[in-house]
Amino acid sequence: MKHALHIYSDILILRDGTYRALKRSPGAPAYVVLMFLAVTLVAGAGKWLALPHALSRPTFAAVIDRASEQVTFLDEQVVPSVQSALDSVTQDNLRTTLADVLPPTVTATAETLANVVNRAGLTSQQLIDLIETTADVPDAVAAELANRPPTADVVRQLLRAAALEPDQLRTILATAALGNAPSVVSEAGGITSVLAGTLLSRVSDRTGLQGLLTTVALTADRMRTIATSLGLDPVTVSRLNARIGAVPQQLQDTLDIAHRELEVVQPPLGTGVSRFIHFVGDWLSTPFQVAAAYLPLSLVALLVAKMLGGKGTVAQHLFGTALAAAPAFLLFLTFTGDLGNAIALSTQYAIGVAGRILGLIGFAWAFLILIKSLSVAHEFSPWRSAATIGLTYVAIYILVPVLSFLALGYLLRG
Amino acid sequence: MTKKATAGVKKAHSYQTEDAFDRTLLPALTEQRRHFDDRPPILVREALLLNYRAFDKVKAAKDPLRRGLTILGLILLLLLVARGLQLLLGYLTTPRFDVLSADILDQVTGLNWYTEQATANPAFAQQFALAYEAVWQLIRVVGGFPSALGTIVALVSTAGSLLLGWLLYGSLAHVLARWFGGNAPLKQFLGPLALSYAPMLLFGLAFIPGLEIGGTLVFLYMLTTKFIAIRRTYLLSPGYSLAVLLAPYAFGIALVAILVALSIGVGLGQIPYLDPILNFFTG
Repeated sequence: MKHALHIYSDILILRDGTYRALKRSPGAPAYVVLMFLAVTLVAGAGKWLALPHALSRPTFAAVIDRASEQVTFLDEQVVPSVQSALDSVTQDNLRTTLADVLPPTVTATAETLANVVNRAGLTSQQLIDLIETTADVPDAVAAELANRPPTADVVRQLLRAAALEPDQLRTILATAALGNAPSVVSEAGGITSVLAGTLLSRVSDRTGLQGLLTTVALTADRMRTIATSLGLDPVTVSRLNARIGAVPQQLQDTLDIAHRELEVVQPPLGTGVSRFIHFVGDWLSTPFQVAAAYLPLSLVALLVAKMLGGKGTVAQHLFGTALAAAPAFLLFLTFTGDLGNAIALSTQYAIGVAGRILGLIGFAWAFLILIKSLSVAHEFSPWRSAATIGLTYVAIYILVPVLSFLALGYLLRG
Repeated sequence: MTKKATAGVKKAHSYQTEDAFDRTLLPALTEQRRHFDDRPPILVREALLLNYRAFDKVKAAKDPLRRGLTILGLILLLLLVARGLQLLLGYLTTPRFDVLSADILDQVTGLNWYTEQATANPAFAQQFALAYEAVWQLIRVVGGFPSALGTIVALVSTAGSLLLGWLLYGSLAHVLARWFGGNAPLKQFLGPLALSYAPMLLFGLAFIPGLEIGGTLVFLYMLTTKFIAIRRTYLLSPGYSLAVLLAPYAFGIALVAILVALSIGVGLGQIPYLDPILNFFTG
């Protein structure tokens, strides 16, 4: 071990005797391979800094659990708000739509009517029912209603047919500016002719009730059209509310099924252990990743060196150029990968910059070792070795693309 | 520092002679590689270290072809063991797709749509099962997840391509080498050529989950060992050896490209209105 480190140290400081001895020694290839593996694994050890983040990544089951929490929030906060909004939209739209369909002269009545309906707590269905029952009003009454102020009998008929609760009737009358409405309506809820007459006499000169009764003369079909055009008739709203209310439970059921499935399909060794093993495999890939990057360059450099009169064998060249990996430990910080939230982003960026600075030093050092090893392997001068490296890059990045382009052009030209 | 001490330091750092270097620093490694026997595992190890003497030993064997077959058999056996380990470790460390696919299949076969189709077409159930299994195998292969069928297919295709490549490449390279002046018979070349497939063992390292070996690395590594095999067998110059090395690949690529071009041309020629359009553009 001590001797191996001694040789390694000599390689780093470009000791000529060591390089020449390595060239001739039968044991050198094995040493170079072991050195390459050791140094690149040290460099790749930077990946281990990302291990805590890799292990803490949520599993699919954990993601499902988070989704379940969101569904609970949906059920408790969002759905009730949506349902409440639907109801208020219905009431708001009612006012707007009534204003659209009623004659301009009774626009104010539309506002009043909508307020009356809202404050009375009338639902759209009750309003429609109210209107529908007026369809039973005989034609004569309807004509009378249209041309003259309504009689007590008509008022009584209409109000009875509305089947309004006493409180609702009181509210309607109060909102229609009828003054002391509660005293008008009997507690028994009945609307007598006398009562209706009294009611009428008190308000006959007011446009409020008249407008209200005019509005009441709207046909059932017309009101049904209004409700349909709103798209929010009570049945629809009720169904929609039911569906919205059911969504959280349906989502939760689906998530529960998914959670059970994901628990079953977990790796037998467990997610954490599996991730750790994959991490080890990824770390052990480092020498092969570096070799895959270095070997094409090295082989092209061999061709160039031979063209320049190099005397080294294939093995001497390849293992000699592999010595350039000796300073690879300086690339430690360039292999760190995603560190997640364990370290602040600014610190991660700083680590990246530091890694690249050290990497630059490592590449420069490797370049010097490469020149030295090429010089020894092929018995070149340092300048010829440098020219070999330069021509290698020219061959790979200029010559090959240009020739490929020309060849492709010839093939396609026909 | 005294003169004696300085001289001692210089001596300690002087590795001018190979013997001194080997004796003092790398005795174990040097002895192993200076004198090694011709057992296939040792030959494979030396071939991986680009030791030309390993190729010479195979070339000089009594029956180089049989020795080559033995070496290929050893490589395939090691790959088989590695694949088995890869399947086992992969199964232990990846999600259980077999359970997931079975659950999904249960749900699908319970659908009304499936029942209607199965009732209308008696062969539907079997066809669906085959297609379903094929899709899951594809997902496993593309996603790199372990599967027994995928492993078996990979092993069979590796063995087939290895043997076929060995014979085809060997024959083509032999013809060229003889043309360039090489004298060795084909049987004598096939032995060292088999040894040149030793880098395939790197794929066996992928039994560790997460460890990936690039195909390019292995291919270039094999090019290097094949170059040594050609050079040591036929004793050609480096230039001729390089030509013999690369020519079979160039021939294969050209053949495939020609076949593809002809297929596309004939296929497009079946389209009736295409010729007039091409005539219009090409004048």
